[in-house]
Amino acid sequence: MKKVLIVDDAVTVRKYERQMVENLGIETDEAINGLEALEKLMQQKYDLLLVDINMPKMTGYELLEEMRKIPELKHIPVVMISTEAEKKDKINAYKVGANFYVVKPIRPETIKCLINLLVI
Amino acid sequence: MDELLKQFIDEARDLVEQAGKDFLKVEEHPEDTEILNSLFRAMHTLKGSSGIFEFLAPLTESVHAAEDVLDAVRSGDMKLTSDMVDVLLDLLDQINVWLDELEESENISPDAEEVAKEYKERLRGFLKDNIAQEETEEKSESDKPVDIPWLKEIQDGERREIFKRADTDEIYAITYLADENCFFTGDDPLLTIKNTPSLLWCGVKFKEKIDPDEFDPFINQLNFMAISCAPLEELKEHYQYVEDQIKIESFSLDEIIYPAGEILEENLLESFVEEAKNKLQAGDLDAISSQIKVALEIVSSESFAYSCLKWMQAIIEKNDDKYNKYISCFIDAINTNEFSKEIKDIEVEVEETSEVTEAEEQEESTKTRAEVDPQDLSFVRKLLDSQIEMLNTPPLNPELEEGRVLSAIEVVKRSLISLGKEDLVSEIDEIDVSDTKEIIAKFTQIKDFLKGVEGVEEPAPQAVTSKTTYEEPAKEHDHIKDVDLKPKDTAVEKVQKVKPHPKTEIKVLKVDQHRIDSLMELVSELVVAKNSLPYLAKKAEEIFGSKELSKELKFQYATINRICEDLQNEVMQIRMVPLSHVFQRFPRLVRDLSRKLNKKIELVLEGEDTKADKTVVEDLAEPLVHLIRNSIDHGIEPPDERKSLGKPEKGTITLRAIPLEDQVIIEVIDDGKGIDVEKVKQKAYEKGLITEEELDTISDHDALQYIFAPGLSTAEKISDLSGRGVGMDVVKNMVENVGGTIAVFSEKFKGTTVRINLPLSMAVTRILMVEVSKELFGFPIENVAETVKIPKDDIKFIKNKETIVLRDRLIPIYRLNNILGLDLSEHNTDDEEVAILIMQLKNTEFGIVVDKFHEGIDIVLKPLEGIMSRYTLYSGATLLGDGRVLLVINPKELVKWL
Repeated sequence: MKKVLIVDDAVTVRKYERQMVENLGIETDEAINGLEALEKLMQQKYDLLLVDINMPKMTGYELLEEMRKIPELKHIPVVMISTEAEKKDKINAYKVGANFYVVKPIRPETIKCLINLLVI
Repeated sequence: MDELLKQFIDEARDLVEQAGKDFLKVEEHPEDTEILNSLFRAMHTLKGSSGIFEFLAPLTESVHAAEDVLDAVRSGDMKLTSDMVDVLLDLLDQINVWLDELEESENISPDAEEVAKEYKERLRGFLKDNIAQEETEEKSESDKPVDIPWLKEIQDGERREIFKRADTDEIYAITYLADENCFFTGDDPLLTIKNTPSLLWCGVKFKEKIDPDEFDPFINQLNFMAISCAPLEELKEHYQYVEDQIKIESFSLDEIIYPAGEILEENLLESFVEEAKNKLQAGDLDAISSQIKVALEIVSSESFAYSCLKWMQAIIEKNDDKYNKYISCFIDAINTNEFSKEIKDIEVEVEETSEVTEAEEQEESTKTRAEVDPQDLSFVRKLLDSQIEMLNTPPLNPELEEGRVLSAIEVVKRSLISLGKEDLVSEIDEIDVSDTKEIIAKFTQIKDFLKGVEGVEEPAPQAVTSKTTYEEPAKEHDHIKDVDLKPKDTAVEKVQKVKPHPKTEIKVLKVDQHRIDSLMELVSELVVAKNSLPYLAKKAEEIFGSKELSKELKFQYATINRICEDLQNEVMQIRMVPLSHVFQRFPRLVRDLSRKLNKKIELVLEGEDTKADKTVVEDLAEPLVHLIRNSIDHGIEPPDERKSLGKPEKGTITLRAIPLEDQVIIEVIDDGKGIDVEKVKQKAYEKGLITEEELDTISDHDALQYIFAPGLSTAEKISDLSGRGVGMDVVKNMVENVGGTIAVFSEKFKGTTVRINLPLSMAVTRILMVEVSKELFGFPIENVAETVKIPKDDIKFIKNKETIVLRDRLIPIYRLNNILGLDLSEHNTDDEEVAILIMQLKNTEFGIVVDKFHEGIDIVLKPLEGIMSRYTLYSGATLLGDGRVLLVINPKELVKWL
């Protein structure tokens, strides 16, 4: 069973992304911050993560920093979706091992490509 | 409405509400980084969520500006000032307006763009330090000068004076549209304008053309203008008394730098221009300065060139790097007779913006390529690029490197499998994972290979067609529905795998208020209907002679009664809301008003969790606003005055709710100057509310209560906050309308407390039934202190009034049949004892003589309607169990009839 984990503190954004992913026939789970995402990741296998950067408790950067160290999680593709359009934010995302960086709001066509290619 | 939009509105409302609270908190504790972070995040989240909806761009952009300001504050680049909080709070209000509009029409008003622009400008204005960034981001905006019409009318020489004397970059233009009748209100606009702090320039202008024949010297015909470089706070303070006639706008000094004058036919300054250019390039400003002096001798002082020279002189004298850039503009102006502030650093800007939008471009190109067919194939290249870029970026720490590499490989492998290029996958498997460089090289190779594939295999590469093909790019706002769900190949499998989303347990139900109301009404009817059972029981016994049946009925009645009570309680609980609903608006009110009046006030909220009936809570809001305004305006003294009185500079207003069993007490307490009882007495006497005799005998407490009388205000000056006719009498009426009472306690110089007693619920009233002249009447039980039976002989006449002595108190008694004009009751003559209701009402006590007491019952009071509504002595009527109508006396009115 293929599953995508959506990590964002904004409920509207989560819903927006979830609808798009589920419309493509893929199951989703939600986490409201990095910490919750990490907890979920420990319990279940996810094929792809869509992660916001600025979140309370644990940011997207911090989540990735943890993930890339944990043997069971380090290989999972992560897409960062952030409101920040500046280059330094993208660089920071790459530093912690984000596989793709998208400026919010992510477009349905981008989601579709990501799902088609990475959730197999 | 679109689900997603609904979701957004809900989320945004929560965020705005939380942010509003946080702003007030952060003003008190500017060092609290946690609140700042939470605020920043709220704006950030709002920006992200609203960004989903393209038509909400104005909201997104204005929130973005707010976020930038907060970010600068958070990172310590600047301090959060009250002015900033003002604007930010205004913005929150504006967002709420937009949300309302969204809820109503699923769109926001067309002027939103304008409004948002204004907020952006105001907010970005705070980000002075980041001017460079601002200019690149909002170039079109910062190019637009502030619209202060009279600024253009200031003489050339005067403008230069302003420029020379201004010692800040941000200066203020003050437009004082002095009131026509200002001479009568004691204002002196000229003096006020002349005393403006750090005044750089001032001027006057006729309001309109004056006809000398109709000139009225008692009417002010002038508007005043001033320019100052004082801080805004100081200016606001200076003009606080004419705030409504004043407009203070900030503008940049740059705006007044431009030459004026006649353009000369012949150019006398050709050589000067050449020389000056050379010297400027060499950075020798002194040389230019001496050249200017020479040049000034040759040109007419009315000319354009003269003005340019003078400006150059002024700029050189000011010796501020910010303005030196204009020197070349003026040199060019002398040469071309045209002045332009265009400065040649545009290249830098272009570079920066291109950097900023790179990520967006990536998005853009994805989109445009979506229209071409093999969407996924080209996206793989994007993914490959991204992996290469990531691996080229050094890791945050070496520990992460393995994970980064593995995830990159995972991404590429999955992509290749999805494209049906399994053969390439095996190549990747052979690479040494620890050699990042080799991996990058391999990825680049694959990328180039795919580029070839893309070119060759178009229009229908076999690998790609096995995937869902791309249709038209999704239409705005409808992305979600438009996503292709046609079951094609792999999509079919995926769809089958989907399980319904696990249902979450619902713990909170949102119910339409009308439903609760009608439920409440039904319960009330039930409460009344059940009252008929005791009558039936009585009837069964007395008329049909069946004691058994009567007993059973009574037993059943007890059960139904209990269920009714529980039911009623439950429904009432549903309608109960915490007073915090009303209280939460006050921190903002107090803050805004105290700032307006330059008073320092702290608002303390107590017992805001206390619950009361929704209607009561809602109706309470307005009187409370009024009381708090009064406290701010008339109660709390200005800081200086408080200091001299030995009080802390900061006044305190406490808004307190105390829950009692069946009522709630709400107090508004201030530690201000209190109410002058003597003044109240005097006014009450003047208005004929008390007699001269009472003037001496009335207790201070009783006298104070006259502030609730219509038209009695002790405030000497009318301010724009309170005291505009709507007085305490309105407050009293509103409180009484919800069945409450109000009282005031005050001590001069120490403060004032207004206490409101409110019933928890207005729906069901408990009354005591009494009988007089064979008619039944009801008295609200809350006003009945006790019921007594007194031997006839104990009734004394004091001052011709019937009076009884009850536990050493003298209580005047009145006969209800007399008051109501009913026949003399038989009881009165026959019985040895008289039944008396001891009524308590606002500290007065009196007895009402009735014939007989009956039981107390719960009723739903229906107000009298139509012609009957004039009989104010009755607060309403209700149906009794046996179908009779019971009139309920309104004790407050009854007092007037005694």
